[in-house]
Amino acid sequence: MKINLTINGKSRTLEIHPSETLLETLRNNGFNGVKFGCGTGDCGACVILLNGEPVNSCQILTAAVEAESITTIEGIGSMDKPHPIQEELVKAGAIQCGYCTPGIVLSAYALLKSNLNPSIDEIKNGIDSHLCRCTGYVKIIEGIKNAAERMSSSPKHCFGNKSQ
Amino acid sequence: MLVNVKNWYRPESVTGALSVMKKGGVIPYAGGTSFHRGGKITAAGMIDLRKLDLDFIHETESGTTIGACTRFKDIANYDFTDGRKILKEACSQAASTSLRNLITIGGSLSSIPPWSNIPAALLALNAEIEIAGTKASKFGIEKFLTEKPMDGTSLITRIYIPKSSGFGIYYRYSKTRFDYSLVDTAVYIEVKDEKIETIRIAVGNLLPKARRLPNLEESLKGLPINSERIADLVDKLEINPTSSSIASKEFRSNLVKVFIKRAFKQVG
Repeated sequence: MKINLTINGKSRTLEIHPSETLLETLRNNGFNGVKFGCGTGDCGACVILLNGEPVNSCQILTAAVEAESITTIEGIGSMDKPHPIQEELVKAGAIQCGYCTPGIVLSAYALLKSNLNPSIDEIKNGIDSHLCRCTGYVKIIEGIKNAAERMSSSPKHCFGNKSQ
Repeated sequence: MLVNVKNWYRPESVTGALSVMKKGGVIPYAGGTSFHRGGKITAAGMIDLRKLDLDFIHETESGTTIGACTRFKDIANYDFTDGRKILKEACSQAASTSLRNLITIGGSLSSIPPWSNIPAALLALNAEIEIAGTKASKFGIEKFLTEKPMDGTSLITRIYIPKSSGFGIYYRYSKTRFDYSLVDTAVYIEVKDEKIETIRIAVGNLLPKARRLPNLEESLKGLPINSERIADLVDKLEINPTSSSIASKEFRSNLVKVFIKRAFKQVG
């Protein structure tokens, strides 16, 4: 079956199987920043933004997001132009294997878009979907806090992508 | 995991959805989070419920009406000011942020997964569940949980929460924030002239299904809200939790008593 949706600000028409998950569709179409972790919604590696809100793409059938807007990590930043959240996570030493990082960046992005001055508890709640088996969470929380402080000086620049 | 799905139906009314369901072999799809928890589910077709206009929270003279496709996130963010905040607490503590953005109250009620926090909360609030289809009726929550009327040709459409002018308290215990709860407890108390006038206590994730504790409720009714007898009566509660590999029956049984006593302390 065919489905129309917007991915990272661009309209796409994709051929999908009716049983296919959004995680499978995205990876099959080159959005490899979204990761398969547990497949049961427990680890957060597959988190993407659906209409600006973090969701587990392994829990969604692609056919259910007809005409909706998807943002993957590729729509947030790139190797050449990383998003401030990505830069601050690197600076804080919050990344080792990096497998959980795309999902965490997207959850942090959604959190900071609604609250640029989050408390530590609000950050913990904002990333409560994510398991990181390398760093623990102290450095991740520190990186998000630093990103919030940096982004609060120019929020328009940091949330400027029309896809979100 | 869903397999063999061939069609997606996108009805724009409850009647349209029910006529598709009558064909058989189709599964309603709202949040979608019940389908990927292990095991294969075969379905010839899926019915997308998102265009049925069942995503709302309305206030009426008698209480709050919640559409079945309303997400936990929206209930958690809703400004319940009276005892109805039990439901807000239950939804805000369930699962994770990204799952609460998907899980719907109707979906959680129709499948009643072991991780659902809402049965205890709805029991303490005396909620009613409206169903359309072959079992069309408005079920009290206790009857709904007992009879399990969802038969493949019925849809939950609305949840009614009566006005609750008293105190509503909800506790949930899990080993980690995101884990399934080992026990959750919802307590609703109305006090008049310093005495307990109305009391509803419900426990979930402790017994095979969530239920009220009518004997305890009856013994507490009429007591002064600060009475020392409350703790004694709660301590005498006999409850036999289902086994859990994570915590002993004694621990979980004791936890319920601590939660109930804590609720009274909070009110008193």
